[in-house]
This record gives sequence, C-alpha cells and structure tokens, in this order.
Amino acid sequence: MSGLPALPPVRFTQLTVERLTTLPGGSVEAHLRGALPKARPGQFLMVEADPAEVLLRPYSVFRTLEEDVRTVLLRGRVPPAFLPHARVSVLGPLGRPFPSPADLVQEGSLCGSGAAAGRLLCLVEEGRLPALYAAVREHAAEALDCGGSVELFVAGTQAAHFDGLAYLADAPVAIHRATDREAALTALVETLTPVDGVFAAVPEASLRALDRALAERPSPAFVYVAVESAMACGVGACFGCPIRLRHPADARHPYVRACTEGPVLPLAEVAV
Amino acid sequence: MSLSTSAAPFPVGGLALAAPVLLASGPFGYGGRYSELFDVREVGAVVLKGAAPEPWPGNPPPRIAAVSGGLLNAIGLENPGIDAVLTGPAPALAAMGAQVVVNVIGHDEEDFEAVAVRAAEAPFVRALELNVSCPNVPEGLRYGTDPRMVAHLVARIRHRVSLPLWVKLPPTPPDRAALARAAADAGADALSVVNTLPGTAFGRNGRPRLGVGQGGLSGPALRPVALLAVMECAEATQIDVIGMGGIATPEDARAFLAAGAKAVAVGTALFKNPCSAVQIARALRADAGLPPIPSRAQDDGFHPAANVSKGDRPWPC
Repeated sequence: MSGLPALPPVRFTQLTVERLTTLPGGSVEAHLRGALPKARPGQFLMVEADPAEVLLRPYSVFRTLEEDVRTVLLRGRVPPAFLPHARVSVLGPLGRPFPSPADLVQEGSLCGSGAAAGRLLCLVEEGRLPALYAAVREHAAEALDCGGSVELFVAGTQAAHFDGLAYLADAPVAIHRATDREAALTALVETLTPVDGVFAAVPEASLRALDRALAERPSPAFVYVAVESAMACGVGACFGCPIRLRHPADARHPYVRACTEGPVLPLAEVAV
Repeated sequence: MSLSTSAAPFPVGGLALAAPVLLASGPFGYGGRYSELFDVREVGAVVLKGAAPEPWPGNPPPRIAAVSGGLLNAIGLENPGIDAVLTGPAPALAAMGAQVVVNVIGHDEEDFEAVAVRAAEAPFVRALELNVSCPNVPEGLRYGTDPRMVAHLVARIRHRVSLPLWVKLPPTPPDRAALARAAADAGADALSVVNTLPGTAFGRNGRPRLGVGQGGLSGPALRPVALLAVMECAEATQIDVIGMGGIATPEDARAFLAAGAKAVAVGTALFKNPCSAVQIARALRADAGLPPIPSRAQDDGFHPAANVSKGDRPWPC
C-alpha cells in the first residue's frame, strides 16, 4: 500500500447523546457532543453501542454539524447505550480517509453508494470535490455546499434508506433513486467516462458487482472503496479485520487491515 | 526510559514489574495505536502478539465474532515474523519504557527455538512466553495438552536462552496439574493461565460466523474457567502464575490474585475500554500502598505528540 496519508490523532473519550430525532422514513439521527478531533470523510469511530457487548462498534461519521457535534444516522433499532443525555465511550477518529479528489482529477465524477455514504458526502461539504457525480444508496446529506455537478445514485428498499436525502433539498445535486442496488449501479456505470472517478461505500456483494461492471468498460480515472468489516480494536492491533489484496506483493502478506490501511482502499488493490 | 527497581516492586516470573498487571498477548498486538492512548510504563509488561520465525498470513475472514459475554477470535496468529517484530514495534515500545515480552509461536520445536534464540539476542526483550495453546492453528493444542511435549519444548528452550521463560497454557487440558508441573520442572519461570477456549457461533444463515468455522473464546465468559485454572496451577506448582481470561476491572484482577495468581494480564477488555489495563494497574498499586507511576509528560517532558492539543491531557487514559 503506497501513498497512504498520515493518520490523525486518536482519542478515547466520552460523548454525550444530546438528542435522538426520528426522521420521516424511520431512521434515527443521533447527535453526539463532546471533544473529539474532526473526522475526515471515510474515517470511523468505535462507539459504545451496547453496554452488554464486549466490543465497541464501528460507525462512520455521518456529519459534523459544528466543531464538536457529531451526527450518527442509524437505521433500525437504536443502540441500547444511545439514551438521551447518556455518555457513551468513543474511540477515534480512526482509519484512513478518502484521498482528496482534487489530487486525483481536475474534472470527473464521484460515485458512492452504500450504508456509509455519509462519508462520501462529507467530501462535498468540505468543498473537496470540484465537479463530480456522487451516487449513494442512502444518507445523502452533505452536498449542500459543494457547488458542483454532483449526482447521487441512491438505492433503497425502504423509506429509511432515503431519509438522508432530506438534507439535499436545496443542494445542486441530481439524485437518482432506485429500488435496488443493481439498478443504481447500472445507472451510475452508464454515466462514467475515463476521466471520471468513483468513490464507493458499499456492501461486499455490491462491491463485486461494481468491480464486474467496471471491468467491462474503459477504466475510470480512480476507484476508491470504503470496505466494511467486523472489527474488534479499530486501531490496528488485533488483526481482526483483514481485507484480502488482489495482487499481494508477498504471498505471506495477503491481507491489509480494514481499520488501519483502510477502510478506504483503491478498488484495484482489493480482492473482491 | 524504564523505571528504577524501586518503582517496580512486583517480582513476577523473573521480572520486576511496576504493577502486577500485564497486557496480554494478542489484543494489544504489537502496540498499534493503543500506545497513543496510555503510558505503557504504567503496566508491568507488554506481551506482544505472537511471533514466528517467518511471517504467517493468518486465517481467512471473518476472524472475529462477538457472542454473549465474550468474543470469539480466529486470527490464526497472523504475524510479520520475529525479525520484523524485533526491528519495528518491539524496540519502539521498549523506547517508551515498556518491559517487552515476546510471545513465541511455531509449527514445531525448531520454530520455537529459532524465535526464542533470535528474540533473546535483542537487548530490549525482557522475557519469553511460549504459546503452546493457541486454538486457532492446527498444532496449537497439540503441545498444550501433552505434558511430555511441553516438558521437552521448555527444556529445549531453557537450554538455549537465559531470559525468564513463561509458558501459556490452554484453559482445559486433560490434566492441568501435570501440564503445569511439566512446564515448571523443565525450567519455566511462570505460567500464563489461560489461553482462549475453543468455541464457535453460527449466524442466521446457518453457517459459522468465523471463516475457519471456529475460534477461541475470550472475555468475561471465560473468567470462571480461567479462575479455576489459576487456582489449580498455583496449587500444583511453586512458580508464579499470571492469570488472564476476562479480566476487565480491578475487582476481577483481585479475584485472580486471591485465586493464587502473582499477576494478571488484560486482553479483550482493551477493546471496550482501552484504559482498562492502566486503570487496573493503578488500583493494584494503590492496594499495595503505592502511588501511581508518574506519566512521562510529568517527569521528563515527554509528550505523545498525537495527543497534545489545546491543553488536553497528554494521555487520554
């Protein structure tokens, strides 16, 4: 793995669950307040979700509202530890973020899709994407200030998957909704040109589909994926989150760690 | 920058420790980013993740599965090889003031010996822990259940190295007392009790949740098993017993000491609370009437640069 950016400081602290808001589709938005370095897109936090569990759970940071408020958008059951005003332990920010698209292309497209799509959209919030397409499956929220030609390809099977789109009501972002991931992927791939780039945060099966679809076309300028994996430590110590490399330089080192070398990796380097 | 003898008043397994609390082999890895979170001098010693003569790739994923009261892991002893350990993370930890213990793994006696001899050449390695009980590799429990094999291995290593030698035992061998005595009689200085307990878990799809079908159980669910093992090993031998298995709080640690352990090691608890080991170390030092170890920031101006900003405490723990 070459050219990896330096990792930011890691902290272990407690954040306060400031409020829980149920969104129209049924997702729950959790606002956590506390002192923690601002995460970069693609990074994650290890969060105390359930006092009965022996592990912290990895969550991508959905949105930073202000300096010390982090929002986690949740689907389904709210973690038992997320009670109003409760303090939950948080370790992070962790992992390697998406590279700056400005360093990769002058003009291109961005695609993200999947449960962690909020990570992609933070890029837009930071003005880091010059002229891009973004495709996300859900949690599209941060494109408000991008000012670019971002396109989001969103696939979801239930209303909660689209809750994040509410943040994009006034954003200059074209949104393409689909009811399944295959349709979203097809719509995305049809828009791609060799000068485009792709950022994706997708489940493993969708990653394979993306890989197959891109193999049949002229290669985009870049494809970065945020991989998903069970994690124990999140800090590179336990070796519990291996991601197999597509072409390892040394057969004795076939894996990298999702938590440390990832979770954002070039698709070309990941065996899918 | 290690501590003076007067600041390390706990003799355990041939070492003088600042606190009777160690970081167990495995969860702390080779340090990783945990060493940004606390001063490693506050724990008695750091037992590194296992090292083999050559790199091992480990098991295919998934490698971890959280279960009720514990964690199953099937890491499969992925490691970069002893040479990489001794030239990278180990000296870095030693430079931070940690007492470094190398956990020795291998496919056979030749492997164990090669790693032990190589590690003993490094001036910063304080002790060796022979891992004869990993449930996640085929040969793991072959050694750890046969007193004769353990005795032969320990004697062979003892003959080659003078460092303190610890032997990590499985939780449920056929004859625990015989195994403990075999290790002690062959020259071990301490017993690490216990390794993880073989187990498995299935998902809703009807398939095992771990890539290799099974793994080793750690965490609170292992604690009663480990306590019994510590008690029986302490009764069976005169050498020190280092207790481990689900220790997450000072109360847990005190129970192991009451059962006969001379020290304890903290592993899986780090995942939920990376500060757990140093919190236990402070508590046990307080039990002994000793003050906390001064942090490096206090006594010599050292700062873990990554953790210093806006007047924050230099160590989060």
